[in-house]
Amino acid sequence: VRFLYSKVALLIALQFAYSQAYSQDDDLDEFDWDDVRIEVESGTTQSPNNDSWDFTFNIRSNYDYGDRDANNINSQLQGDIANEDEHEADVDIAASLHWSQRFGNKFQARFGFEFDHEISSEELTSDTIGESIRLDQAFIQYQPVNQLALRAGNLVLPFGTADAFRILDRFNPQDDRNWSLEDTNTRRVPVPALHLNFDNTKFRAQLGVGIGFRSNRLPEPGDEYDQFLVDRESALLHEQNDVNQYRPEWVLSGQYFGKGFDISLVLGDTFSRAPVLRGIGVEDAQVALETYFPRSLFGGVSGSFSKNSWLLRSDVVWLKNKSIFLNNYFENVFANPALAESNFSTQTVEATTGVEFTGISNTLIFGEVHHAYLADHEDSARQDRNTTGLAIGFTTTAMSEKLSLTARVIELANLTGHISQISAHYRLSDRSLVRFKWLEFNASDDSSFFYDYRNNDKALLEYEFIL
Amino acid sequence: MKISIFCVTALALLNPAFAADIDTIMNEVEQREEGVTSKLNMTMILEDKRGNVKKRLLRSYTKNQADAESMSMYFLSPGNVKGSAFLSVNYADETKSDDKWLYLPALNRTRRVSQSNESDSFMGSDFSYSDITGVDINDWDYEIVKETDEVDGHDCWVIDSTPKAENRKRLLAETGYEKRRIWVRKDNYYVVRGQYFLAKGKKMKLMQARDLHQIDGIWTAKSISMVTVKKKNILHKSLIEFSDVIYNSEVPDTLFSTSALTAEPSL
Repeated sequence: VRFLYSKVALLIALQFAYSQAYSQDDDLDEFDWDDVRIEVESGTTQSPNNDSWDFTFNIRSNYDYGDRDANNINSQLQGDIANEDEHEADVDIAASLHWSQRFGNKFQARFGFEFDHEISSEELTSDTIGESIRLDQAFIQYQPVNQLALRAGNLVLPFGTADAFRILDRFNPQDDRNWSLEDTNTRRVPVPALHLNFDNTKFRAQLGVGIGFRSNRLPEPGDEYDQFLVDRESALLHEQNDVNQYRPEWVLSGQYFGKGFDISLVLGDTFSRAPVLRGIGVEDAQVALETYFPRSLFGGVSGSFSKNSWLLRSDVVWLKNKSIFLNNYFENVFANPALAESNFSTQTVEATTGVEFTGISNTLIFGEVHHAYLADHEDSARQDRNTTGLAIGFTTTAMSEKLSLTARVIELANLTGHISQISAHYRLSDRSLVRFKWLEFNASDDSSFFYDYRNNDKALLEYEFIL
Repeated sequence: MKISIFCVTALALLNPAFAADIDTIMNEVEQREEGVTSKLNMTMILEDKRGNVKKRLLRSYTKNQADAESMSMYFLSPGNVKGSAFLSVNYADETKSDDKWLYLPALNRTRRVSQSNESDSFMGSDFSYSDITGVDINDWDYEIVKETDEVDGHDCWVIDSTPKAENRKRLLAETGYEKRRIWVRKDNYYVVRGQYFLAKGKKMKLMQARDLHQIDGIWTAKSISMVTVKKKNILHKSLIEFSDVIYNSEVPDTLFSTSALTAEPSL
């Protein structure tokens, strides 16, 4: 908590210094109006078309400087991890192409593709290009009347109001390959789905049906963000995910809009997007981790309320069953395989409450608290019965939206681990910008699940060009 | 009652050039005809003191109803904001908070946003939110400082306004202005020029509305500019050009819903 206070003080100091850069005393004076006329070239004002393309190109350089401790990792992974140890830089290239088109007043189509590739890891060949291309959001929309729309395609369907702890947003998988390096909001992966939407401005109803299960995008085994990092300290190598689950998933929501507030009810039945450890097995004559994706019914309430410069938002979700990992599974499994349990299921209630304040010049200050409660609990569970998390920060933007600065601290696991994040982007022109991000990981308690990720500190420099 | 420099319209009057008292003038300014609905395209040009220029293309829809004024705005270019949309519903009942929603296409997410500080920059421009949404004329004291002054060949009143003493602290916080000087055309009560004195930083903002013409009998500016200066040095310039303006056409209520933000309609 003392550390948290110091972080808050740092954020306030940063904001104060930033504001001071914009205030100086000066004298008022008359002005020649002819000097301040803005002349516009002929043809500047355009009438937009109904179809459009856009292309974005990014080149990113990551610099990792945390000292990773690979001594406890099993021998076959040690080589890879040792290479990532201490100081390492790599370069990624990414591009996206999007197209949208209207067909009369009732039909609309949008297609998008994404490409990303880490240059330093392997040569760019036709095979790796194929592996690096993914379908982004892509859909056809039919809108027979103003109030009703049906979309089919590769969709992102967000639910809930939270930003940092999105407990109700359970329809889409996350891209966890660079967990915490990307903004929380941008880590959703589109899935094949149908979406029916009714909206008469006061009431909105949505039904989303997912067709074909997709899990979170996970880091490579042994990677710094590997969620089974602690389990790989044993002599286990491969991961075997059971993904052959095609039972349709669904989410239904109803939302009411009042003056200055809204409230929604959400009900759904979806798979867990994160793999849950079920046990160990043998694959290709090697011992392997066996995982699965449990399914859970959930229900929740979500709402937001604004008053002047303040915004209050909150989500609550109840999960019928959530799988919780157990500690020391591998010690037990070798001692007595018949008794070793990897996880247990329990009802869970989670809640988030967020506050935003925009009363300071061109600045947004935000905070979000998350709490999870497990109805059943075992001493050997990796998660406490009650878990609290916290995210605070601010974003400030200068004239022309040229420079934007964001600072954020996320506290996890009952404040035993945290991530500090400072990011800034400077817009060189309408078509290009430079982005910088710095991340610091920390864990104050070696019993925290976050302890194994404490040295994932890194800096990122990115250039983006938009055609 | 609110007046906004952002309104692109003004009421055409048959014989307005009479010697009027200040209250009459300001009431006429406030009661400018804006149309029940409007559809228009906007090109916003931002220029910093080094001459770097940014350009944005937007499409806007408005609807004025008895209990609320609604506006939706779709960002058409450049690529980094393309597909984003903003919805604002301002209620006549001032005890109710206004609704503001922002849609981000990459996330396919529409989220409520809090009411920004009224003196904050609107989309990175020299216009503030209070310039866009307008100020309540009853909150300010007015004085005619010059009975006649010519702007682009048209006779104008020059009027100073300062916050009423009981509102001063609140208005300074909301608008950032400690004094405003406006030029009101006598033939149509259109505010064609403004000089706004900022309380902080001793900066000044200069507004000019250009090329007034009538569309369906409603006075409309072709462009409005705002320039921020300090010691005669230009810090930043913004210009908004309006095109394809259509008044009083059919605009369905459903266009002002959170769902409508996800798919930009055709004009």
